[in-house]
Amino acid sequence: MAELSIVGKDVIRVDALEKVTGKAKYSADFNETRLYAKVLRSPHAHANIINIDTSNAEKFPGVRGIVKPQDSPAKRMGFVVCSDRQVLPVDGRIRYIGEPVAVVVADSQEIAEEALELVKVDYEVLPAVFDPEEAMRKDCPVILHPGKNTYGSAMKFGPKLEREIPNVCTVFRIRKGDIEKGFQEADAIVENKYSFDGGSHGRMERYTIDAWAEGNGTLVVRTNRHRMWGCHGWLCSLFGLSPSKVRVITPYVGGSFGGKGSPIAEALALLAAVKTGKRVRLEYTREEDIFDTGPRPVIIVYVKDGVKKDGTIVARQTRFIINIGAYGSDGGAISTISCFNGIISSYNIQNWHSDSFTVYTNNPPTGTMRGVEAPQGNWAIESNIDCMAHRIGMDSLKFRLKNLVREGDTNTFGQVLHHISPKECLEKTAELMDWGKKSIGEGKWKRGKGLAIGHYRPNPNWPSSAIVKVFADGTIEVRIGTDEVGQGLLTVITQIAAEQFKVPMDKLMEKVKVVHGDTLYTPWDFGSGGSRATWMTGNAVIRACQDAKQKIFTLAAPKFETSPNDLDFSDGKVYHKDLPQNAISLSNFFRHGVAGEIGEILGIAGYEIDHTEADPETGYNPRGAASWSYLVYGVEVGVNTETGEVKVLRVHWAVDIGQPINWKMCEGQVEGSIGMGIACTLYEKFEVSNGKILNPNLVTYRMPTFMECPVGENVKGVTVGLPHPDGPYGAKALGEMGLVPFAAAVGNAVFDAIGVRITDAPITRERVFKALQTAKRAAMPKERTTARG
Amino acid sequence: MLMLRVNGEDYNVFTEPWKTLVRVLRDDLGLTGVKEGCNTGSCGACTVLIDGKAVKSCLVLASQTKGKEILTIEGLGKNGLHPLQQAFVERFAIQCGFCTPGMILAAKGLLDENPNPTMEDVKLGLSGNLCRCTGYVKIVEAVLVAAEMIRKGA
Repeated sequence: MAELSIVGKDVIRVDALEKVTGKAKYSADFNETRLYAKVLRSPHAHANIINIDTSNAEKFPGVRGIVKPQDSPAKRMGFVVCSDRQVLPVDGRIRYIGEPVAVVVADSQEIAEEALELVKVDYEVLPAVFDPEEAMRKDCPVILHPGKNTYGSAMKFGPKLEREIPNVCTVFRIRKGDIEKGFQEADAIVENKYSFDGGSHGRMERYTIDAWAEGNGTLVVRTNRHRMWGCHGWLCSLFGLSPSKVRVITPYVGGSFGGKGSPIAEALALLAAVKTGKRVRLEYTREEDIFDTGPRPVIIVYVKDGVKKDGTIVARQTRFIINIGAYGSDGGAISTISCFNGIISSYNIQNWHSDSFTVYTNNPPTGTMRGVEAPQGNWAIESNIDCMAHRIGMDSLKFRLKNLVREGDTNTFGQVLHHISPKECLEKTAELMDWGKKSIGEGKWKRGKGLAIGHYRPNPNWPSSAIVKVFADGTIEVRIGTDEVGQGLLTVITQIAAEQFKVPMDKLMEKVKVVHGDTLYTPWDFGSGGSRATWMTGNAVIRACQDAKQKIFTLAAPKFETSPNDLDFSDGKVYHKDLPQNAISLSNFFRHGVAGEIGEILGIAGYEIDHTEADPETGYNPRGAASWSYLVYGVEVGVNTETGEVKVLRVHWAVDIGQPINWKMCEGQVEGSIGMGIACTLYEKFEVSNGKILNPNLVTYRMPTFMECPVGENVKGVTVGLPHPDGPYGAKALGEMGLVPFAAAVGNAVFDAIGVRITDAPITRERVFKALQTAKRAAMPKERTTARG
Repeated sequence: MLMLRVNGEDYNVFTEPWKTLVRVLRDDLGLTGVKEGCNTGSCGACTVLIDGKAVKSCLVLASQTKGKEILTIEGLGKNGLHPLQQAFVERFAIQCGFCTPGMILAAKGLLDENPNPTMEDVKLGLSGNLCRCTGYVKIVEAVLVAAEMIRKGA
């Protein structure tokens, strides 16, 4: 590969200046005249709506309209697999506490809030089910979606719809090898039940939407979300409108991390705008933002591993039960398969059978959050890996290296792995954290070290596209339909385009501009999600740049009296490859801003991955990913044996992400994942009682602060990967992977510190304390235990 | 009518007496660099300086700030970037940017009081401000770098 001059450099973020001066506009920062919408939500977990009486609310001064279920389209929508969600319950059925029932629109937030109290809804309360293992029984008397098998689906990929078990949404199976034979060969069987609680994305910005209808009938929403085009398609389909009649605008977004799978809130805001004929703002409270934007589900994983004395893993059986709540349309339905994205490409396991289920319950609907259950799957598997190593008395690093995949090996889904460096990730992390050296605690504070490996891939399921326009002065304008949600995509795309057109570093900000965040001006893209944006959109941008350059060279070739193939471009000038000193400014080929007969220099390209879909009955998926990235965490913890408190003291890590486009931003993704990992692994969990989340605010749902997170020299990582031939300038995927192996690394370190295995995450003080008590009791001499009765 | 002094300028604002400072700054003065994250004083996105002290503007009524000097992010960047802003840019201490204005003002409050903080001082001083994107590593680094720049008279 030719030497890179912009890609691979720590280019300052292109949005940084706007963000440090307060000039960057987020969706709540637009100050137009508007009405305000508030959502009336159900107090019941399962009920039929008998009657909605809005007469008193309508008379309340300042109320401008009330949207009821009958004002809403009856069409069921979904993100994948099962279209189970209506915007408002047109079917008359409420399935979770907080489900939208109606929308009140008024002159101010305060009036709307007061008027909500005046809407009278009569419910017939129904029995509800909250426990997934109870709900997934075939004879469960409570059925959330009696019509499930008739709903249909908007997208055909991933796990399949379960038709036999009423409350199971999707199933996905792995049938690799012969596990009976595998378990017979095993010298030890290591069996555990793991769980991971639900939690919030915790993005700093609350969901805020402005919606209005333009004079020509176009419906417009300005919203803060990822997957702008996904929202656009969903709204077109819901309202039966042509793509040109819906416009979605996303200004700067204050964090995403997934969620907002189905744009219910955008649809509600639009219904309110249509009803009143005015611009309407719908701003979620922190409570609404926490529980009703598709948060992380509760997941239960049963793992049974068979291992030989020499450290060979010979068989694995797993069962995943994912409590997705009332609807799968926020993305929950996909997690039967996505939970494997962080565990199938680490080790050579010849025999693996698995069944995973997403289960409907009367809890708030869940969705996608950073890694989409890959971190939770990894929590179970990488914890059990340590359990196996411990059982056979082998060092867990050696055990991992023994079973680890190498270049050319085949993963669990049948894909041959290339351009991977998992071994280097493990070895480098072990070196950084001084693996062989025992961590010594003091007094009640015990210390321990733990390792875990994880991986991820750019989601291959949807294409990307890009448009590049070159101005006469050599300015490059790149139009992309994918989302900047804070991860740094605008900077990545700027670097890629600058590299393509050889824009000098000091002219980067001036000569490259990325247009994004508006479906009116950008080409279709699935958006940022599934760690795909750098790979997919990056590749589309490279192709669009090449297309634009080809047009420049064709335009310029006659002047150089040569073939377009002999020409090159740098710093706004065209030149013959053999005579770079005789460069001609691009402006010479324009007349009054028009580039001859082609008019404009536009490069347009799409990019798609030739891939396979996993077989839902066996998991076989030989071309399921374009590339695999790896990450290893080495975590050192302190555990207080009196209180059960766990502190993450140091985190070392090594990634294989191919050629980093901008290493400082990559570091930022991993460091951010460590912060979020500490949150999910040690602190944050929804306290749920009968379908009600009891802590949906930042006072009782405590997010970690600076005090809980290691900084400075205590967080250190390196990159070990080699450029991938198909990646944009050799880059692979990163974003979500950061969260994947974190929890297990902490759990393994806690075990190293106190000799007790915590199988339920988060590893709260309470859980550690109880586990230590149980271990103490178990260690007591038998007679004494008996004597105490 | 309420008289406020914000970023060195005087304002007369017609507003309801129960309105919090964050709402008046954003809605009435258009200073949308002040962010509103939780309205419970938990996240710190709305942090401004009142008479030099970092305060969460969702916990203060606008009417309580009469006669006091309020500084928002818009006022900090008025005459070229403040060293904190510069350090946040150069050290990649920003991702989504939503917590950034509040974070920078909280850091300014800290450095004005303690120009030579240790890493632990910075962590404690900013512990009222949440960030979900960065894991705090680069923010601490940026604040320490800015402190040094200020001490050297940058």
